[in-house]
Order: sequence, then C-alpha cells, then structure tokens
Amino acid sequence: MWHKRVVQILAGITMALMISHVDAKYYSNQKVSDLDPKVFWIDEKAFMGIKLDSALELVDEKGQTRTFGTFTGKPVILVWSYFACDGSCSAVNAELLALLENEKQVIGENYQVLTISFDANDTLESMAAFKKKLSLPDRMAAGWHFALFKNPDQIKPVTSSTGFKYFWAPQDKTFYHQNVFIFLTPEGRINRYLYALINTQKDVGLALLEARMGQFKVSEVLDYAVGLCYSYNYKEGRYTYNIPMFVGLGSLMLGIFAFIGSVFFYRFRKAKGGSVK
Amino acid sequence: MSTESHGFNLKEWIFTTDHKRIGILYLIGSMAAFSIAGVMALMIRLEQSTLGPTLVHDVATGGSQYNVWLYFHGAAMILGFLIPGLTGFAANYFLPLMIGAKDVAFPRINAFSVWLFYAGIIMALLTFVIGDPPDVMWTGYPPYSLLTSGNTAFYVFTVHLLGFASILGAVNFLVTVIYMRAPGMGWNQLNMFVWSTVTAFVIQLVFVPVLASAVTMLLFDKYLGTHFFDPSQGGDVLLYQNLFWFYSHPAVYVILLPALGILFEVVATFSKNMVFNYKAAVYGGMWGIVLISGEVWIHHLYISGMPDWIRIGMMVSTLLISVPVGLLAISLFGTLYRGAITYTTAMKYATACLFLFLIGGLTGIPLAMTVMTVHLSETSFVHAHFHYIMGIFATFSVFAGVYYWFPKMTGKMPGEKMGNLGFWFNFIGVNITFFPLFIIGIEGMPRRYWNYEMFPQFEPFHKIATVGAFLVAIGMLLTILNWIISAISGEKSVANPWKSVSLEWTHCPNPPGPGNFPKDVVVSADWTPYNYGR
Repeated sequence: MWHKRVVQILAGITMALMISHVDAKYYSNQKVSDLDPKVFWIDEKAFMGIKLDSALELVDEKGQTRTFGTFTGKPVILVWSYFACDGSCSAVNAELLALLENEKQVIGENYQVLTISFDANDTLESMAAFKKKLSLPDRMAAGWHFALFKNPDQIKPVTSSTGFKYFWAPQDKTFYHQNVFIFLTPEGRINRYLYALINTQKDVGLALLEARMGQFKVSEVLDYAVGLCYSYNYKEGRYTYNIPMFVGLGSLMLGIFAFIGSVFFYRFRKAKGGSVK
Repeated sequence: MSTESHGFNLKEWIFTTDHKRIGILYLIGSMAAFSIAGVMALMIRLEQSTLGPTLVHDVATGGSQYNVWLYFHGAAMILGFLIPGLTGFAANYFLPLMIGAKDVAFPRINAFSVWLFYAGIIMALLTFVIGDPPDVMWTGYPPYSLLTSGNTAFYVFTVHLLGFASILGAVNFLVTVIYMRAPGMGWNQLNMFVWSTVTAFVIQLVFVPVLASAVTMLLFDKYLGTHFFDPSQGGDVLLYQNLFWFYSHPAVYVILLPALGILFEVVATFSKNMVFNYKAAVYGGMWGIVLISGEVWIHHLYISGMPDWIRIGMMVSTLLISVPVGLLAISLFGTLYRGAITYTTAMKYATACLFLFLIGGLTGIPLAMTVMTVHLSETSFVHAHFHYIMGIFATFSVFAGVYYWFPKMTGKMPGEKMGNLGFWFNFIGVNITFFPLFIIGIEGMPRRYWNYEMFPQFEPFHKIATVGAFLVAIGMLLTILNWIISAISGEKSVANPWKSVSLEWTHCPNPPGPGNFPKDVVVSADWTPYNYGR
C-alpha cells in the first residue's frame, strides 16, 4: 500500500513540476501584462488645478443631502472608493488612516478626508458597514466623512473630471479602479495626486501642507521651511529631496565664506606687516 | 601699490595690478561687448521692421538665427557691458580714489578678475565662430536649453567666467572699503557712488553663486545625463527659473545701484549741492534695496505656475521695493532742487536718466501687480519696461560717468559739441525705439517673435522703433568717436574742471599716477564729498 502512496506522491510532484514548468514558460514569454498600465495612469498635468463643482449634491452618513462645497474650506483628501469592495478599497482607506494617525496637522481642524462611493448601488447601510470596518478612532472620525452621490448620473462625469478611472468587470463582479489620494485645496481645486501603497507619512504630510495654500500658522513656519526641502517627483509619484534647492542654498554661502576668508587673510597679512597682493 | 611707468607698454597693461588700468581695461572690454550687442540690437530691429523674413535667410531656421542674436544681445549687454561697466570699470577706477586709498586690498586678485572678464567676453564672442552657437537668451531656461542643438555649454562657461570675476571683484572692493579708507573718513562721509558699489557688491557676493550653481546643474543635465531640471525623470523644471531669478532680479539692482551712484556724483557736482537726505538714501534706499532684493524674484514667474498666496506675497514685496527706490529718487531730485545747475554733456545724460528712471519705474508697477502682469507678461511692454529702467538708464548713467570722469582718466576735456550731438541722437532715438513697444505690448505684441505675421497691425510701430534704433546707433557712434578723438587731441584739462569737492578731484592729478595721491590723504570730521557751502 505504501508504494502506491509513494507513486501517488511522485506523480503529484511530477505533475506540479510540469505545471510550474508550463507556468514558468508561459510567464517568461509573457513580457508585458495584457492590461496596458497606461489605462490607470492619471495625466496629472491635465487635471491639476481643476476645481470640483461645489454645488455637487452628495448624501452624507446621516442620509442628509450636502453639497460638495460644505466639505471644503480647508484642504480635503478625496478618496474614490466603493463600499461593497472586498479588495483594495478597504485596504487603501486603512492605509490612509495609518498614514494620518501620526500626522502633525490635525484632522478636522487643518484638513478633512472625504471618501465618496463611485458605485451607484452603494447605500447608507453599505457606507455604514464600510466605515465600521475601517474602525476610525474618535479623534479622526470627526474629520473623516463618507458620502454617496445623490444623483448616480453624475458619478461618471464627476469622477472623470478628477482623472479617476474605473471599470466594471462582470465576470469578477468587481470594479477595477485606481487607488489614489487626491489632495484638494480649501477652494476645492486638485493640488496633488498621491498613489496608495507607495507613499509614506512624510509624503501625505507634505501634500497636505501644499494643499493648504499658505494657510499655516506661525508655529508651522518651520514645517513649511522643511517642506521646501522636498519637491514632488512626478516620475516616482512621491516627494523626494529637492537637490537643486540644496545646491542653490549651499552656493549662497560660497560668496559669504569667500568674503570672510578674505577679511581674515587681509588682517593676517597686515598684522604681519606685509603688503597684501 | 603699483610702480608701473606711464608710457604705453602692452605687457604692462596685460599684467597690470593698478586698479586704474584695470578699470580702463574693464571699460574697453565692456564697450567692445556693448558695441557688438548694439549691432545685434540693430539686426533684431531690422528683422522686426517687416512682417515676414527680413534678414533671416531660411524661414525654417529663422527662429534659431534670431534667438542667437537675442542671446548675444542680452548676455553681452547684462553680463558683458552693464555689470562690468559699472562695477568693473567705474568701481575699479574711482572707488579707491574716492576713499583716499592708494590701491585696492588685493591687486593681484583684481588683475585676475579682469582676465576672467576678458576670457568671458572672448567666450561670448566665439558665439559667432562656432557652428552651433547658444540660442538660449540670457536666461537659459530648460527644457529649451537642454533640447536645443545650440551649444548651451558656451552660455554656461560664459556665466561661470563672468560670475567668478564678479565674486572676486566683490570680495576685493568690500575689503578695500572696510579697511582702506583714508584716516578720519567715517561711514557717513563716503561718496554715494562708494555706498552704491558696496551695496551692489554685497548683492553680487550673495547671489552670483546661486546663478553659477543653477547653470552648472544645467550643464550636468545637458551633457552628463543628470536630471535636475527634467520632470519626466524626477527633476523640477521650475526650480531653474527660481534659482535663475533669485540671482538675476537682484542683478537688476547690481546694475541700478552703481548707476544711481554715478548719477549722485554727477548731479551733486553739477548742481553744486549737498546730496539731499544722504542718510535716508544710503540706509533706507540702498540698504533697503539689498534687504528686499532677495524676496522679489518670483514676479518673473507669475505666469510659470505657483500658488496664488505666493503670488500675492511676492506682489507685496515687489511693490515694497519701490519704497527704497523712491527714497533714492527723492534724494536725487532733492539734490537738484535750488541747485546751481550746469548742463554739461555729463549732466544732460544724468537728467535724461531721471526721466528714463521715471518712465521705467512707473511702468514697473503694473508688472509687479499680479492682476495686470498676467496680461502683460511676455509682451513687448516688458521689453520696453526693462530697456527703460535697466538698459538705457544704466547705459546713459555709464555715459554720464565717462563724460564726468573723462578729464580724470585722460587729462583731457571731452568734446562738448560732439558729446551734445551724440546725446540728443541717443535720447531721442531710445524714446522713439522703446515707447511704441509699450503701446503694442498692451495690445498684445509678444516678445521674442522674429515673425509676427499674425499681428500685421503692429508693423508700423516696429518700423518706427527701427528708425529709433538707427538714430541711437548714430548717437552711440558719435559718442564713442568723441571719446577717442577727445582722448587723443582734446583740450587739456585743468586739475578740477567741474570744481567738485570729492577726493578724486581735489587730491590727485589728472590722470592719477602710481599710488594715486601725491600725499597721504587725511580727512577731517566735518569733511563731506558734497560740501559745496550751500
């Protein structure tokens, strides 16, 4: 009996090896994905600065109709999600929560987060369930809002106006969509896109600071100055050190040091009684 | 102290460490740059005198050809003529004389800086020899400067050489003024020209290295594969503009301040008046400009893209700089008030400067205001504005200075008749050239277009401007010829022909010999360079 078992195991291993070989062969020939990644790129320069319609009607967690304008007045991190999503939406919102938990800028006071569903089938119940699953701490719940479109016909044009794309996949019964945090100015204009899963707390903080459009307190001047040390890197999709700025600042010192050095040199030569040439 | 002889000896001139000779070398070099830049200006104007191609041979590449003229005209005028003419020539020759110093603090460094200057001028002139001349204006903005087939390296190295010469000059003169003033000479007894060059050199010292670093990164991007200014590779293209204007706007004051300094000397001498409100002009005006000059550069980038709140902040600081500039203007006009004015050629240029300053200054106000500058940016209104306030104003100021100090430098009097004729050609010419550009600028004539077939309504204005440019060319030719003829065969000057009380006139001969002063200079506590007893 045992040898039959061994044969079964060996056959299984052989089959697994054959399949893996076939897989490896298949994937090694598959140089590029079937899905063109460009489909999910946002042409940022085409959308930056666009102002969202402040009269857009949304339904909040209490079921009340609110215009989009009532959420603005301070920077907003806009997240397009759908509440029935069992994949990335929860993860993306949870990631944003993790990034914001230690953020110095105070949610609700300096900025707000707005997660809006782009699924016409979402309801107040699915929204409540999604929020509950996210487990927002109390101090964050006040500044983190969830909403539905009041008029489902507006979903596509409004999301498209922010560069956001999504597709319904009937076979998977799911939406394929971008995972992006959209930073809006207090006026409701798009100021920055940060892609989920590749950004750090520092990137989110800097994007928020930028989105405040100079509305910072005196106590935050240092934060703002530190922010100048970084610039948004469009290639990497995150903030990186602003090297030319450092070079420029460093060179500012060059002339001053040259002057100080020449003063010392002049005094030294004079003190020695020599002529300065 | 120099021990060189008076006779002409080329080797002595090349290896001279005498600040006066170095000043003359700067004058010759900067006038050479000015002359070629002037020829370029005539070509630019001729090209724009008709709608289609006028001078360009090939319509397809006409833009590049025209860009080369613009590049040379801009770079040579600013980096080759105005800055070296004011801080190189005038400061070198007259600053030590005005403070009673026998030489500068570092004569050899001074000589080295003039060599660098000449190397920079030669580098700029090579533009006409190489097959792929730079065509990046004087700004060198990426991405164009990175993508063009023109030789951006020539631009970068020219900036390096002239910038390094500037830094050396700045260090030298600051140490000279601090440590080599005549015994008894306090800070409030300095000539306005000395103060103006001190403040200009402070600006140079702080800001020139930033320009040098910006163009160096440009060089790296173009030739060494870095991506400092390439957004597609993670760089920041706007940062170049920020770094460039962080220096280049203060550079306007590097030109403006010594130009005003010369005017103060000329106006005080020919009005026989004390400088009006001396302390307010020095500490409020000149040092005020130094303080604010580093916070206004963004008005050059209003349309490049930036948050509104930065625009507003920079609009305020830009408008704020009109306060110290206004203090200087009030001081200049106040010095004329009830003065015993003599209208020599130098004084005519100086008073013309006041007019140009007014036009250039007032037209700067709408450009500082965000709401108007969005409409006016990149139009010929800007072109006319900066030519009035920087190009012509500073050029006229150099001419006023050369006429004023001509007896000091040559021992001969400048020819007044020819000087006058040249002045009127120049003054009428520049106004005919640039005033129409204000009008068509408001109506939308873009800058830097060699072919403006889409705007035929502007052609008559361009024709008028071209006529003006040729009047200026005649005026310039008369002026330079006058200097050459007067230096060779002019009437011998008396010791102090303008009866100035400034040290360079009262204590040393024309021209000053080695060591400048026959006797050591000591000034009393009540001495001032403007004490005309009025």
